[in-house]
Formats: sequence, C-alpha cells, structure tokens
Amino acid sequence: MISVKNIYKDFGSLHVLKGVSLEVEKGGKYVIIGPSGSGKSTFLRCMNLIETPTYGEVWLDGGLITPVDPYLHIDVIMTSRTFKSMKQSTGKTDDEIIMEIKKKDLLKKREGAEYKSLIKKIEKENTIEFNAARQKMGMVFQQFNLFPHLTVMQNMTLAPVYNGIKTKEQASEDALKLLNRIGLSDKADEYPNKLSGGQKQRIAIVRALCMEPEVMLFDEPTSALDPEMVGEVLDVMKDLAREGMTMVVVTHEMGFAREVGDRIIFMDGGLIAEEGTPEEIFEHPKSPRLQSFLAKVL
Amino acid sequence: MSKFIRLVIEIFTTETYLDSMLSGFEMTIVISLGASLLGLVLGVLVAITGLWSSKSIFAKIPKAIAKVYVTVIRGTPMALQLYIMAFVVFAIRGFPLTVTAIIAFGINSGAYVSENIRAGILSVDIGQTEAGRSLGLTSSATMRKIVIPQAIKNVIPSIGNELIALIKETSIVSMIGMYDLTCAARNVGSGNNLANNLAPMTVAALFYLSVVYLLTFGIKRIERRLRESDKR
Repeated sequence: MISVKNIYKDFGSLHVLKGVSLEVEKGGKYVIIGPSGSGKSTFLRCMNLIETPTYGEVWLDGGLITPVDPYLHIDVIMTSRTFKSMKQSTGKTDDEIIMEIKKKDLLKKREGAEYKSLIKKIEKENTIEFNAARQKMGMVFQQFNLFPHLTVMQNMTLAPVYNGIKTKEQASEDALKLLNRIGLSDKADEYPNKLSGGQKQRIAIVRALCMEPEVMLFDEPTSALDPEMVGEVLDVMKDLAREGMTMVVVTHEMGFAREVGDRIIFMDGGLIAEEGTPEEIFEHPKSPRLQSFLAKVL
Repeated sequence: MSKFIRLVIEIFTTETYLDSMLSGFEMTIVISLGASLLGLVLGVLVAITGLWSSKSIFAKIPKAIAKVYVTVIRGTPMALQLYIMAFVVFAIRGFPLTVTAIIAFGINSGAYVSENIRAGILSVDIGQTEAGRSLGLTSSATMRKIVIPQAIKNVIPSIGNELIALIKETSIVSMIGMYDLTCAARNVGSGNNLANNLAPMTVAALFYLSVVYLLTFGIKRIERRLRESDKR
C-alpha cells in the first residue's frame, strides 16, 4: 500500500534519515519506536510529505508522490554524463560505477538531456497528485493541531466537504456518528479550547477518519497528554486497530506497541536498527542498542 | 481660564471659524480614509508576495520588489516621501493635491501594514498548516480556511495601531500647502483671526482625539468578536 524507498532527509548539515525503507501492507499495524532524535517522527512525516525527503521515493498504491530519485533508477544513472565519463576514464564495470555513484552522491544538476528526459518520463508515468494521496493518509499529531477558530463539528467537516468527498449533510452525519463512538457527541458545537488534551486528541483522530483514509499515521499521539488521559486515546486507537485500519504509529507506549503492533520497527541514528514481530523485538532483541533502549524504557 | 472657554465657544459659534475647522477636518478624514484603504490593499498584496514560497523567477522578482519597497518606505521619513510625491512624481500642474497625499500616505502605510500582516500570518502555529495539508487541503485552501482566519485575530490590533498613527501623521500635509485640520487650527489662531493659538489647537486636538477614540472603540469590538473561540 505505502512503499517507502530509501529515504534520506537532511536539515542543512544535519542528516536525520540515512536511507530508510518500509513496505506498509493493507491492514498492517506498524509501530515505530526508538530514542528521541532517531528520526522516527521525521520518517513518518516524510510518508505523507509534510517533510519532503532529500532523496528517496514514496509510493502510494502504485503511484509516486515524491519527486523521482535518480539514485533509485539504474537506467537513469546509466544515462548520466557522470556515468559515461567515469566509464571512459576508469576501467571499472558498470555495477562498480553505479555503486560508486550511489555511495558518493555523484549525480549533479547537469547530467545531459537524455538523463533529464528519462526522469521526466518516469515522473509522467508514475506521479499521482499528492493532495489526493494525502487524503488517503490520515495523520494525528503530537500537538493535536485542532483548528481553534472552528467548532469540533466544523473541524471534522471542513476538509471532506471542501474536497468534495461528502456533502455537508453527509459529513455532519458521519461526524456525529464518530463523535458518538468516542463518547463526545455533546461537544460537537464547542470550540477546541474548552476541551481537555485527551478529548482534543480523540477528536483529532476522528477528524482524520472523516476523510475516510486508507491508512492512519500517528506521530506520538500520547506524548503531550497528562498520564491519566493517555488511556482514553490509546483505547480509541486500539478500537481502530481491531476494525482493521492500516496504521503506522510512532510512540513511546511500549505496552501499546506490544499489544497492537504486528510489526515493530526500532529506529536509531536515522536508520532502522532492528525490525520484527513484537515477540522478536521485546523478548529477543538482537542488537545491543535495542537491548539497552528496552532496558531503559520497560 | 474664562478667556480660554470664551474663545473655544467663539470658534464653535463663529461661522467662518467653524467652517474653517470643519473643512480642514474633512480633508484630514478624506486623506486618512483614502490612504488607509490604499494601504490595506497594498499591505495585503505585498504581504502575500513576501510569503510566496515558490522558487520560480515569477515569484522571485515580485518578492524582491516587495522587499525593496518595504525597506525604502520604512527607512525614509514620511515628510520626505510626501515632498517627493508632490514635487517630483506628481509635479504636474492641476494634479489634485488630495490624490497626491492619499497616494503618498497610502504607499507609506502599505509598507507597515504588510509587515504587520506578515507577522500575523507567521504567528499562526506551523502545526495548523501541517494539519490542513494532512487533511488533503491544498496550500491555498489551508491559507484561506485555516491560517488567515487565525492570523486576522492577531493582526487586527497592530493594523488598528497603524491606522491611528496614519490619521495623526496626515497632519504634515500642510507642508505641501494643503488645508487639513492642523493647518486650519493654525489659520484660525493666527493674528488676522482669533489671535490665540491655544483655543483652536485644543479644538483640533479634540477632533483628532474623538476620531481616534471612535476607531479604537470599533477595533476593540471587532477584536472581542474574533476572540469568541478563545474562551475557555
């Protein structure tokens, strides 16, 4: 469903992601854990292009939503001037040259017309409009990000109505149903400022659900909450998981990860350090880095 | 004291004096209104240009112009700008001075308004934009439906400030020979007329004060309405 290929992300000279790949399959629950500064949030934000990756590609249902990354296409590399001149000047094989170009990031802006037209061609054939793609990916933020100038109901109906997914009546009907489900239907006409953190986050979750996404991305949804409110938010997420929603969750809640996740991804230093089932990760961690991390958080 | 009160009453009761003050007042209001409208329009346009994130050449040139405009206008005195408008740019025989003044003050005000609007838009948390975009709204829809409504709330007080400053600043138009409220006060108080400066200038001050007070009151009301959603 979502295919993340070799994502790099630099903020100036800071390399936050150093080549991360992930295949998200329909119905899967992926939980990303790791120490702060390991790039978990950035990785999640790259998935729906809130951050644009420096290199790498993100594909959604077979459509490309990032710019083309030349390093991921061997035929593109082979049409580049750099490749041709290296082939002439050195006696190396094609594979060696390709490896070297990839490793040392040798492609420059001026790589010739053939190279450019090939990239354009790949772009034309595969790119899908990323606003449409984003509509399929619901996102929940650490800081809730409800719109303070709109009521709860308006928060939930704005995007589906504006994007023409639902009529106004249908959107408010669905919104009420969702609010009912989380027990907050009496708050429909309140402004977000009057709600508690837990209520805000539950509403942020159903606001994303109003767009009827295929996958939900959670960026540390409980980190900004008072401890007593964490449970209510996790319960909504567990419900969602039981219904078969595809989920990618960045979290520090190890209990939740173990219970809900069917694939745990441990990130460290901008890379996926270890990946596996909850059992593999929590009971039999292999890398010393994961072992020491778990020793600290469990 | 009684002399002062008698003179004030005289200004209000003598037709020539009152007419003189009122026509000056009218001029002040016309220039202020025209300039603030022009300033708001210019300010919004310049602010939007400044926040344009595109890297294409079509965005870069207007952005550069906007930057120069704000820097030059904010870095030079209003009186000088007024002189340049009156004696250089529009030094055309028969060109209405009122229009010159409106343009000069409007252009000046636009630079300040644009900075206020820019600051207001930037003050809206980036998370709001991210949330809007993550719901599949386009960047312009996010701007219109989410960022700008919140920015307006932050911008209204400083725009109000700017309008108040503008009204008072119009008092320098007498420097290019225009007859505004301040000039009228000078005239009424001159030796040929009342031969007293305190009374007409107090009256002029009251005029300015009442306009500014009304404006402040209006802005406060708008602010209060916009803050409705902030109540906890």
